[in-house]
Amino acid sequence: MDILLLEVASNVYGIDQRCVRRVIDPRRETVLEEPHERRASYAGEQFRLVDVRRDLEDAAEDGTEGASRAYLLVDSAREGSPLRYLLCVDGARSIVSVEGERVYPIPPYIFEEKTDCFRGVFEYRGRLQLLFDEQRL
Amino acid sequence: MARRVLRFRIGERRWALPLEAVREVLEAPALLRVPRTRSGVAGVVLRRGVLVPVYDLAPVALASQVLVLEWGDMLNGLRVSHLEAQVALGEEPQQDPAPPASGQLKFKDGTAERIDLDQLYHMLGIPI
Repeated sequence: MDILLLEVASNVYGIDQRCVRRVIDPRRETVLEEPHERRASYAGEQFRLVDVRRDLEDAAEDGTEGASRAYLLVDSAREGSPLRYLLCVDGARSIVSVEGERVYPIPPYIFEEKTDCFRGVFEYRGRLQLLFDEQRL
Repeated sequence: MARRVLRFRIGERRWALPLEAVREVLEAPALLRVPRTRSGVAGVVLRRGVLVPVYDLAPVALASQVLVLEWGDMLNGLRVSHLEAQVALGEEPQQDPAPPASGQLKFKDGTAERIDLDQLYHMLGIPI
């Protein structure tokens, strides 16, 4: 599996590269966020907005609020149900290849409530990273 | 045969777990923090192809080691401040020759709270 590495606060996450249609640099293209609605418009279309910093990270504690942003146009049809949304991160880095069996599932009992937005954990350069489940973000 | 326990500290408090419950000890492993986890979950660590959740029983300023605990095929980790010793119960004169399954154990240098793995898992909220 090819995984696109994403920076959010001081962490690195991964997402299946096949579902990323476009990486949008907001300095070059316009994305209008409606954060209270959790929506954003891009290229004349409205999308659901998933902001990893806001939804998963405690950015205030991290002290890096206000850092640069990037948007990913995610288009996934895995499991037969098409999904399109914008994923907001701090930056998209490089693509790495990880064998499917090297993605280790997270025991579900560690979560506060049912959380299935992660497919699991993979190892990259000796460090563990979280892999998003693009169908459940 | 005397039962052996592993004695360790978490902060200032001393604990003792049955030695057979401890599969291995990790020295200061790098943990991956996972968002949206229950309180007490410090992170996860990968051991031989298995992702092991690591827990804190109490807030610890300097956690130096992780005990990897085995219950059936389930592995979980416990962060400790300091691993002290393996002790065979009943061998020290201060000890009750037939110590209870839980409660205070007396040693010549103090006491330790003896807990079994199911008690510990209950305290940490791990389903068994």
